[in-house]
Amino acid sequence: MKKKISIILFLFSLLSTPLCLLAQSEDLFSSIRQDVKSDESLLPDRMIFTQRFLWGENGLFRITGISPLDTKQREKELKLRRSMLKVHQIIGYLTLAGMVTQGFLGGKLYNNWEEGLYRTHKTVGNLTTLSYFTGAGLSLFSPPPLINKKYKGLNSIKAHKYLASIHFSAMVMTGIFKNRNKKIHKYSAYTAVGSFAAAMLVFKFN
Amino acid sequence: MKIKLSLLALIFCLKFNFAQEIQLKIETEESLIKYKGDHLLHSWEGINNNVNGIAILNPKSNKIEKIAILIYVRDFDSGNPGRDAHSLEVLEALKYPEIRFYSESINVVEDKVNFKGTFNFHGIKIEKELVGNLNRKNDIWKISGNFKIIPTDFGIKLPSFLSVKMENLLDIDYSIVLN
Repeated sequence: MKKKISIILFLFSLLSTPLCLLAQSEDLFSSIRQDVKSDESLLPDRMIFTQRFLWGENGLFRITGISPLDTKQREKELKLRRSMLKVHQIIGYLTLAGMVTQGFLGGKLYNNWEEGLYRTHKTVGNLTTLSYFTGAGLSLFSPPPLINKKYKGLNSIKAHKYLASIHFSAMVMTGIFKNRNKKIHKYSAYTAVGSFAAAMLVFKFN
Repeated sequence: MKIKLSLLALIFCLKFNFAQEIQLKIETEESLIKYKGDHLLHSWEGINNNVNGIAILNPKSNKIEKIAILIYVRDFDSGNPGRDAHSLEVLEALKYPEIRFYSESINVVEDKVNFKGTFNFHGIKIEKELVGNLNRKNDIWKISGNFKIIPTDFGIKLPSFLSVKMENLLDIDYSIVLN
């Protein structure tokens, strides 16, 4: 009997020592956490109106139960956001390539109008417009980020957003005036290309 | 003999709970942890000014026996809201909100302090040895230094810009004040 008790006690002591150490480190971290206020919010205070409409606290996906607001779901949403913004980036390169091609074709058309060239310009224009608005949609309707801090002064993301409002308006104008006023169509298109390229390049800077 | 051994082991275990010890706290307002990241096109820094932690001081030996440091990934500020938000997605901040360091092997030699401890970051634990500079004035311990970490070692997928991934190395500077 004595032997059994001593063996049990011995094993308990041996096993409990590392557990004690582990428990102690966990105790220390628990004690730290008690003194710290951590931000556990799931949604940022600020978000684009399109994101608020779909993903806000009372957004369409919340009230319909498609995407309930909880940690697990937000983890999935952030993964979806990353994928959507990655595709937004790739589509952005394709759109820029389409815009540059359009500039080249459009310039040629102004100097020498040809039926074939006009058709190509129109087809490339439609494809570029489609890819442009698909890319814009991926950004506008993506789930919101976890945080959206407000800073004074200019930074790359702010510049990207300002330039986005310029190229978005310019793209709309380019479409509206394509058959109404060639001059406005041309300058709107140039504004769109310039601001679109700049919106991509600003990320090079902080 | 076995009873004696088991009692010794039990006392050894209980010693951890009942030993006389002094708790030092990290002065959050005076401490910081900074990372520097690099990409082909630019480099950037992020600072965490919300460093929390506790160190256990043995009053007899006057040595730090344990240290536990806790920071939150949300508290890093790089001055760019887009980048910070993106970092939280890359680091899966909802799943792994904390970065922890715990050490029970701390050696002080003159003005240098050597920590052998465990980083718990992005759900992965990695043992690491750090060497810091120690500046001690009465009850205030100031420890500063730097080290490097490899994000992919912690299972982090490197973000890319213009199809180029960021460099797989983060430079970490730290300055911690214990009181």
